[in-house]
Amino acid sequence: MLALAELQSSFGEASLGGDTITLAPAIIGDGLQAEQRLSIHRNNTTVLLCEVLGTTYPVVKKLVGEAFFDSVARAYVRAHPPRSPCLFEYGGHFGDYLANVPAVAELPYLSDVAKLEWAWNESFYAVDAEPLSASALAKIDPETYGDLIFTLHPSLRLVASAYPIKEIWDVNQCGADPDARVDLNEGAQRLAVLRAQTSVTFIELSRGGFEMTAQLSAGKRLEDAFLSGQRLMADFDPTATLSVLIRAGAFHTFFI
Amino acid sequence: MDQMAPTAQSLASPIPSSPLPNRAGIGLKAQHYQEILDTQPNIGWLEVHSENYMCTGGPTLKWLTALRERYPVSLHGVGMSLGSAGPLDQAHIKRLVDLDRRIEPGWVSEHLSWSIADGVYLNDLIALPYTAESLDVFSAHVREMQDALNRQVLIENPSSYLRYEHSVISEPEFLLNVVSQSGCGVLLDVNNVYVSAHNHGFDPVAYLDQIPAHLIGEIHMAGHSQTVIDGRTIRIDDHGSPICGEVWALYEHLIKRTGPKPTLIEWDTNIPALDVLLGEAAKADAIMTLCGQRETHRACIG
Amino acid sequence: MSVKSLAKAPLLAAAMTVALSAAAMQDVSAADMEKCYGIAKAGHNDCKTETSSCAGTAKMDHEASAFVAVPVGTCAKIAGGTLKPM
Ligand SMILES: [Fe+2]
Repeated sequence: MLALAELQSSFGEASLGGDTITLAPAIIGDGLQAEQRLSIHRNNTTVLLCEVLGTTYPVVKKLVGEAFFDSVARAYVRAHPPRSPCLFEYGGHFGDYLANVPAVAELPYLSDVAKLEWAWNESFYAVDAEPLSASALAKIDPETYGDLIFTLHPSLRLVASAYPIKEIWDVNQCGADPDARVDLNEGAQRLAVLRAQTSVTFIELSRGGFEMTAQLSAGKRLEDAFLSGQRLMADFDPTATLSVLIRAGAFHTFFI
Repeated sequence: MDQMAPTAQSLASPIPSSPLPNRAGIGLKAQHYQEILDTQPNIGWLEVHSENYMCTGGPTLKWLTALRERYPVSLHGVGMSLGSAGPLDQAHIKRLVDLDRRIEPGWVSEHLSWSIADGVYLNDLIALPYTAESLDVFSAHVREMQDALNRQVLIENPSSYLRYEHSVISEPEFLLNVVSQSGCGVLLDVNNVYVSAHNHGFDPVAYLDQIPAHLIGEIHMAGHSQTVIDGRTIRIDDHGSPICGEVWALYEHLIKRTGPKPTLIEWDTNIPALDVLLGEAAKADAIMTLCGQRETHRACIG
Repeated sequence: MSVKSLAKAPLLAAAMTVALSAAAMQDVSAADMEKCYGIAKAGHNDCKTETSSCAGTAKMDHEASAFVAVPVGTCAKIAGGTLKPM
């Protein structure tokens, strides 16, 4: 008789595509092979987890088509099964995983699109917080602007790609113009992903603006963050970045 | 096995009076948030899967909170894996306790099954071997969950596709033993009884009749599908279609004995328009009205 | 504070001043939530649906013929591909 722990270990392996040698003798066939009964459970685990990945990565799924997506998702599920029952948290490594799938080497943007979708997912479920109001910021003595340290909104995520991933995301939304095309020559895109209120939004940033935001989110002083941005982009003017971040509610608190 | 003789009647705590109304409720789906909030349909209560709302923030929690102001809610867990030989996930318990405080549900329920092996969540509700070891493990986990929540929970009978050579008692006997060893109540899923009865060749009526009415805190009703493996039809509990006639007949049989009970219409795949769910709920309400009064059995159709 | 950063401060101060004068915070609004789930009704992408379920599936995962080697989706809409530096 299999002890419960041993039975569950073997069952877990079988549900993820492993062999059923230890487990099969413990299953009553009742007109079927034990293996056929176990295949119902392998199906449940595999198909339903692939569907979860499809819910989290709808743009990747559209880009590669359902059949291909399912085959990649199945391999991912087998290699990285969930460790938590909260499945909205499942699949965080899918973007990195796609970067190493030879069959999509021709789609070099795919991994970054997946990372954008993961950032969207994290932002959507992030803890709610009040955005910093412009009026609170307006009370700060301009002399001390350089020393400002911000806490960024908890839903803020930063995603950069060598490809126009926001355009790729846009043309794959429901209701997008079916004739819309994306030219990869549009080049790199750097995005802040934010859900200050209800909807997740993408904010496109310049090269310097992205670097400044990344430094701010790492807790750097505003002036140091600005200088980091300027090192990457000689003509970096922080006005646009600061305007868009403040207006979108990307800051949560500040101190000096 | 002496310690496994059913003693539920004597040891179980009776179900407290009406934590949910004795009416039909529906499973809450994101597609229907806005419509339910706008139209406030006359349904008894709503049920959600706890794990979908264990996030720290975001719109889904806001919707549920807004709807909770208008309807009683039942929290139905799918991920605690009470039947796992290993310890319960303490972080998961903590998240459930937080959600319980936030939502103040009528009931918190879980399944008579397991889904975690070696730390991997299989996203499947898998039947246990019905042995003394399983009973000890499962009952201890139910007690741990109830202690953490400081409330009685309901345990639901699963749909099953296989049985084990070393099981020593039937599923309803096992369930009643869990009740007597933990003080939990029963969430009786009529469709699951029907699906398992078909898959394993037992009598669904006899199963239902074994569960004392006073232990049943909630009932589930759902659709299932059929698949053919090697010439043999297996029923799969996929919650993706209307409740079938045989399951409605079993429900009538049950309600005649138990009187009205909070009854959930579960629909989780191929989710239809809200009206379809409300139609199924109205059907359950009508059966409870017709058959649920113990004195008026004769009024019941069929 | 370094000499260099002192020299840059005026640009930053001006930027903050302009940014603040232009800023108007967005409101939380019912319309916002409506828009969100309005799109969910039509399909997916913009809003999340539930990932946890207590149901099984009747869909068969065809293990043997599983690997589909070629992506055939909307990737056909994505053209070009000269890598530009970040
Ligand atoms: Fe159920």
